[in-house]
Amino acid sequence: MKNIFSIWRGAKQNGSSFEELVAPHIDRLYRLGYRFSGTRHDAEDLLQELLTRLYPKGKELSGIEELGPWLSKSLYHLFIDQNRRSTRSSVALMEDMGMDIETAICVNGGPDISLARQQTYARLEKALFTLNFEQRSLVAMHDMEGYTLPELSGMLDTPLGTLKSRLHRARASLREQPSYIKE
Amino acid sequence: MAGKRKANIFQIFGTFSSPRSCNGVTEDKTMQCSELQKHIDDRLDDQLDGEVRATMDAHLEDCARCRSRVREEQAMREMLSDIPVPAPSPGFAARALRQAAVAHSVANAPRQKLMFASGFAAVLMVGVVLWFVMGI
Repeated sequence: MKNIFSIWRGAKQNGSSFEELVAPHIDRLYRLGYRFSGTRHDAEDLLQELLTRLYPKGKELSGIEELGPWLSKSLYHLFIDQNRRSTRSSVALMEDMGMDIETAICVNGGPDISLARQQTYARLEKALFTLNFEQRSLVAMHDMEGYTLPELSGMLDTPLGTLKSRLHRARASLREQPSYIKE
Repeated sequence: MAGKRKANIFQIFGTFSSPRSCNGVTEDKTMQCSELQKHIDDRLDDQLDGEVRATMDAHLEDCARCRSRVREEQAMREMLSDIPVPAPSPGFAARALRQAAVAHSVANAPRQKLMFASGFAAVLMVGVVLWFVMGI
């Protein structure tokens, strides 16, 4: 009987420590997930999947020195793994689901942003979603969420020069998209 | 920790009062326009060392076209970082953490049940043995 209680207590301790460790990073992870996936629903699904996978490793997480970047890296790899299985582009997938990305982004922008500005964002984001998911996630982390190149180099185990080239190509592709407009 | 950052390149290049257009002619410049284009990303990412950076800044001071390219690139980055992110659904963080815990306990339920059944069987067996021994 004592064993049953100790198992229950242990699980609870593990649960609360996992929560304490991860909860401060959820907002930032959600933002990143949204930048990767482009919809609130997909961002929440992606983050839920990450948390479910990490929960059994609660004790290991407490030993990670820079947990925030580590969690971001895990989210990135999960996103890449999930998308490698799909050969359809994000825009095509959204169209498959009957979603109009411009409308979706305009609604997401909320009433505080002018219509012209919302449309600019929508066109820019539409251009973003024509990039492949690896390019898009790199632009999302660096240009949108402010991770520096040295941070990304450490997080993604990728040499700085390689990262710079990839980002350069991603931005060049972005500028070439018909939906990309200069303000 | 990474945060939202914006280079102050507008402040740097916004102070030039009488820009001269170089129209691609480099004349006495130490850096050509085509060479400068290669360094724009590094300049905005603060990845240029002092000498190249100073040379680039000197070129930009004289070249309106290159300044315009830099501004354009900077504007694109600012627009990207300004694209709004909608708030997650109400109570998402707490719900997600709770669901992760539930999924873990559900996954472990068969093992815990097996452990409980094994324990129960062992206790039952000891009881039967004791009853048998004491009965005799």
